[in-house]
Amino acid sequence: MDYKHIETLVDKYFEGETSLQEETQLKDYFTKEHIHPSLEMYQGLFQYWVDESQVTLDDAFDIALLEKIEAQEAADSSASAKPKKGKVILLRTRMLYRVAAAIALVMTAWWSYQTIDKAAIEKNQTAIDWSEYEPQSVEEAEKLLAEAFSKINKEEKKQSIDWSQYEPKTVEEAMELTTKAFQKLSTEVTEGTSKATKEVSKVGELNKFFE
Amino acid sequence: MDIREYKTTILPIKNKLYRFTLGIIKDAAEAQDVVQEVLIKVWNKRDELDHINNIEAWCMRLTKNLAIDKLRSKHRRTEDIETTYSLSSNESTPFEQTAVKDSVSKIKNMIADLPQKQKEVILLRDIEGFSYQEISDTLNMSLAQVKTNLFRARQRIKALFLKTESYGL
Repeated sequence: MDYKHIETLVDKYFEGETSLQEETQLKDYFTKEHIHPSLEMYQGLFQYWVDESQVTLDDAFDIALLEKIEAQEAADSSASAKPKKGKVILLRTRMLYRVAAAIALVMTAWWSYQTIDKAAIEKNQTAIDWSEYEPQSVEEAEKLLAEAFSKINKEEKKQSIDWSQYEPKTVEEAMELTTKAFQKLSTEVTEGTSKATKEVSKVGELNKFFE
Repeated sequence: MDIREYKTTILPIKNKLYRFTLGIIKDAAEAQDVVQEVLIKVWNKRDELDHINNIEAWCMRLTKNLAIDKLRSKHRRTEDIETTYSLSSNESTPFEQTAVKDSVSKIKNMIADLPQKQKEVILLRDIEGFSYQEISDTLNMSLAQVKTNLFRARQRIKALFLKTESYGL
């Protein structure tokens, strides 16, 4: 092959402008043909690319890899076997729960039906017969009413507060109580005013700070 | 996805992943570990693969991230290219042997010393023969970014070659 053409291709190669086909031509030239002295310096490079492209892994690699994969699969399957067993138990347990729930539901329904039915019957049977409490005469009715009213009055008296015990007995006592009440009111008002004055003065100090 | 499908669709990507990883971390044993970890992750996510448009690009991204993580976690730093040059120039092994060894190690170091994005782009282009679009998909970069990174990476390598030639290193 014309070395001038190869020289041009080498220049194109280092400019990153060669096609894959041209690069193959260069590799072929530098590995197969007599190399022109001006191009010898690049022989090593193209020879290196060709040699490196022929590097392969041997069969021992495949064997080792596949053995590892098989070992991993075996380990995975033995590990996953346990959860599978667990799953079966879980499914069985779930089935048992479902059956138990269904039985419970049926029993509850049956019990409810029976209970409601019986209760209704008992209600009818044990209804209070008020007719036996009815007064037989007007006098008896009046007597019963009087008893009822007296009971109500007694209860009311028990519950009501007897305010009469707090009432002042004399005019002096009433005056004394009123004076004490006003004094108390006056003290509370004075304390409130002083507190308010203090707060207002604090606000005034704060205003000064911000000014 | 069962193991058969995995063997036919995922496993063949292993060599691309390995070469790409090797370009990033430069250690064959560690690169193998990374690829193995990635392929196991892919197997574990096999049920989600239907939602991924480009599985190869996705695997490459996974590999790249893991390789960079490994590199960072070990606080490994690629050797300084200038140091390598000075050391290699002092070697006293027979000329032809060292010439070949040096040539490869220099190139490796040149690539290792590239900024991360430039390195990723040039590895995918010059080793894997990816198109710009494939690189863009794999590295989540725009086409313009791919071209710029490739241009810069090659310019940098050219400059180092010229420097080597000038100083006879």
